[in-house]
Amino acid sequence: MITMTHYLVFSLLLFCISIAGIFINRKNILLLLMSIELMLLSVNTNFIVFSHFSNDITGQVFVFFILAVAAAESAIGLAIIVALYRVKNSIEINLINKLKG
Amino acid sequence: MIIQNTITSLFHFMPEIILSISSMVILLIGTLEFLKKYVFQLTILSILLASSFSYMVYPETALSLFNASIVKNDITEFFKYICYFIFLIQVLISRKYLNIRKLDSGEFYSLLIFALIGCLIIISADNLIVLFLGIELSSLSLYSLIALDKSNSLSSEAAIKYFVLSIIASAIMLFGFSYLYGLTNSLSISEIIVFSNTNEISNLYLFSYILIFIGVAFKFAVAPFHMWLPDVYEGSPLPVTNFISSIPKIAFFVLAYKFLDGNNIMQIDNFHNIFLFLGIFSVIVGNLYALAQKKIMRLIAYSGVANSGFIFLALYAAIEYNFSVSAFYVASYSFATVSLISLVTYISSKKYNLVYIKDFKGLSASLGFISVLFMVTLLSTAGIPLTVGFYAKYLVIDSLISKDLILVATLVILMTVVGLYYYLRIIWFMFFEPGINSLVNRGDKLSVLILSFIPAIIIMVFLFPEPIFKYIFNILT
Repeated sequence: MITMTHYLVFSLLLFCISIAGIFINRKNILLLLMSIELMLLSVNTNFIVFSHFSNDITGQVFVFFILAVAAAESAIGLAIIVALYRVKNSIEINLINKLKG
Repeated sequence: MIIQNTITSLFHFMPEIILSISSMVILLIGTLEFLKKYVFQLTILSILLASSFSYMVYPETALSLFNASIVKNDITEFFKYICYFIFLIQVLISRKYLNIRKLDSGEFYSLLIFALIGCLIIISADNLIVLFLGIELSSLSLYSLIALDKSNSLSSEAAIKYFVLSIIASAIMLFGFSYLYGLTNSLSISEIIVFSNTNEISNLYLFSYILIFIGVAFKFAVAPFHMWLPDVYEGSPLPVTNFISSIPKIAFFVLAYKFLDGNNIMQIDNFHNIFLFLGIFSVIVGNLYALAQKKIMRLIAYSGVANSGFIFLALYAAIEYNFSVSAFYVASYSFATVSLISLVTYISSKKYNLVYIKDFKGLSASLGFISVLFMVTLLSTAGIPLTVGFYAKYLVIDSLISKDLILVATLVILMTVVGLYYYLRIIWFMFFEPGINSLVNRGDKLSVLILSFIPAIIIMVFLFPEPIFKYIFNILT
């Protein structure tokens, strides 16, 4: 029997994996975008679980808003990456180091 | 609290609606060749219209709009007026800077107004969905604003850094929201606070609050979460930096106030000590790093980190009194930083190369009055008497001492003295060193008049602090 705790632990693990993905990854910006998506999806899982187990629909409404915003966010993120590629001819993270004191 | 139906809610929500319509109109006009030059005037007109309308529908008692998702009361209106005023000054000052760099297009002003609407929604939201949408509206517009200078590689670099770290912050905050929803079965902030006062505070509630305040600390750039701030300040166009440095901080202060005010969680030591530690750490890190900076925007950024530390210390001290000290600090700091960055913007728009601190040498020879204004603002951020910054810092340290934290107060005062060094060095460069930059001084009387507004306020409020402080105290209690 899968209880609520299982789902919550699952989404917490998903969240930790995505945080690790952001901080360990040192090469590719696209992987960063994927980790960010994963992060928001783990939040969605949390909301759906709570909403399902307490028979309250508002949590699932919140999920729709998060999905829409996540789509807008990745669109803007990709646009910024394109702008970065135009001036630098590369999207490697190691090369994003021009700003320092 | 008077509950309004949807039609009357729309009427009371009119300022934001005016702003969003005018923002779309500006975006449209920016694409038309023969109307392009009017976008600036339209921006000023819309902000004046929205703020005067906001005055017309000023709520006599607290209002609850749109099925309890938006609240309007004295507190929200006070901070909204500060936002309108600051925004107006920022837009008026930045025109020439944008004109030289070919950035004064319709989309710039449109996105800037959208970011403002996002912050206004954060200030007045009482529902987690609306709050989330407000946060995202302001940060999505800011990502694109930072990256708007497409020829500059620093600008897109700053944009990608702000993008990643800001999304992490909002995702952590959202994770906290989801646990709060699971515990209380409600998305309304006021119901979440009532829940903490009627039930025993569980560890999960505490955990979700810690997650939310990690997000708030990210947005305030408090010390362990400050790494994005100097890069973003340096890389983004100055008018955008001016916006980021002030208005989102006011909005997130109101958010923190809403989550903490009247909440039993403040009685738990483990929770409210977080504010103390973050505050002390941030004051130390901000002031020490600022000593080593060579570029003016990075110096302002690190001094911003130190000032955010003061805000967190004031929030810590607010636990037994009320939030008036921290509100006063936020208001005075945002005025000072807006004045500082506006002055840098004004000087940069005269083709005077102002990137390094040594570029300040001999500034008073060519721009005498501007240098004096600069000095007043710098002294206010440093906390020297005759400026409101002194009064704000004094109130914070006073409330720390009254909580028997003598050691912390001493440390904070010491760090403020360290901070004096880098502020006074700029003043020394301006007045007592021979100049290396040559500058043709062309008087721009209107800009100078606008720029002298905030320093005048800074000195006036120091001389007569009672009315404004009493007003803040009254609306917060």
